[in-house]
Amino acid sequence: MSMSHNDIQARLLLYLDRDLPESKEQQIRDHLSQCALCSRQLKLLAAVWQSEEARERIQPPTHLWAAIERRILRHKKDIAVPDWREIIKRYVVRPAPAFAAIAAVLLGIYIGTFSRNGESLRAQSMGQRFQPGEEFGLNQFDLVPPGSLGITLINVSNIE
Amino acid sequence: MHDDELVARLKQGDRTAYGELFETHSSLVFNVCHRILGNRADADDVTQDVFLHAYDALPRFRGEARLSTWLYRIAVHLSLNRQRRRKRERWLALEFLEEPENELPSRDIVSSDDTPDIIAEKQETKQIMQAAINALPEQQRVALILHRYEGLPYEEIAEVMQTSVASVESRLHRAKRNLARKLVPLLKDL
Repeated sequence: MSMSHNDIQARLLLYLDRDLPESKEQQIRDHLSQCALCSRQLKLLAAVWQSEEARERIQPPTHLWAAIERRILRHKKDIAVPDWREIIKRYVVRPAPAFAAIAAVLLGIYIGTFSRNGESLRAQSMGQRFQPGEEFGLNQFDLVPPGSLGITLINVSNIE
Repeated sequence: MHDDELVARLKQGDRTAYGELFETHSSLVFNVCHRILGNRADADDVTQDVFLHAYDALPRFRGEARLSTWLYRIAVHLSLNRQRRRKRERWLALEFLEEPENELPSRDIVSSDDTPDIIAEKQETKQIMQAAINALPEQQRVALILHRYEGLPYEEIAEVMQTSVASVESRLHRAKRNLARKLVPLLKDL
């Protein structure tokens, strides 16, 4: 199966490093022999890839060991006698957002519970203060004299 | 044998042994940090972190891997952490809208005989290569750096990255294909 330009170009580094199966290498060699564009790109890639290889390793800075020794000494001291500032940072400051979140959740639950209780208390107290009709003081007056036919009719209608 | 002896002395708290550890492995650690992070300042900081971390973790080192492999693993882990933190900081500071600063070629690669044109060309080539490598996915980038620039065999890379040899081969293969795709359009303009 023949490869497109994009397929060939994507494999050029693998070709340079001989990381391809022989059949694929042959396909690329055949293509390069006929394609000036891909040949040029191979040359450019080879120049960059090889110049990278030729680059020497970077020397670490000379102060590095002294800096590491200082940090180790400081680290040993911190482990032995924790600084009070470090203790506050570790046990108060760092967990503060978590504590705040928990407090907010608990407050929300408390407010929610309180407001529901408050409503039912209010409903109860309203109910106890007034029986139907009582709010206008109607219980103070008997509209129908006791023992009269009117009372008998009212009692019968209440039963129904 | 040398590793075993050094580890034994380190566990006994021998300070000269720690100095030897640094002398033998500082270049390896610094270079891999520099390759991953792309600048000397961060590489300097992370190299210090690596040796401090090694100092703490040495009592727990079981000697199943070589000391160099162990240090590579710590260096890769801390370098990637630093890079992720920098990306977050740049994002929060809205610096992702700006181009990142590119480091000039170090004195080690620029010779005193180089003309300004050659220096500029080397710098441009380095920047192009660094940008293309930085654009690779993390795992592919690390595998490429360890294989190509540190010269580690596949087995050791697999130990450093705590994966299989087949996985390392696959990552390297994909890394080179992705790198070629990124480099070809950039090199066209040179």
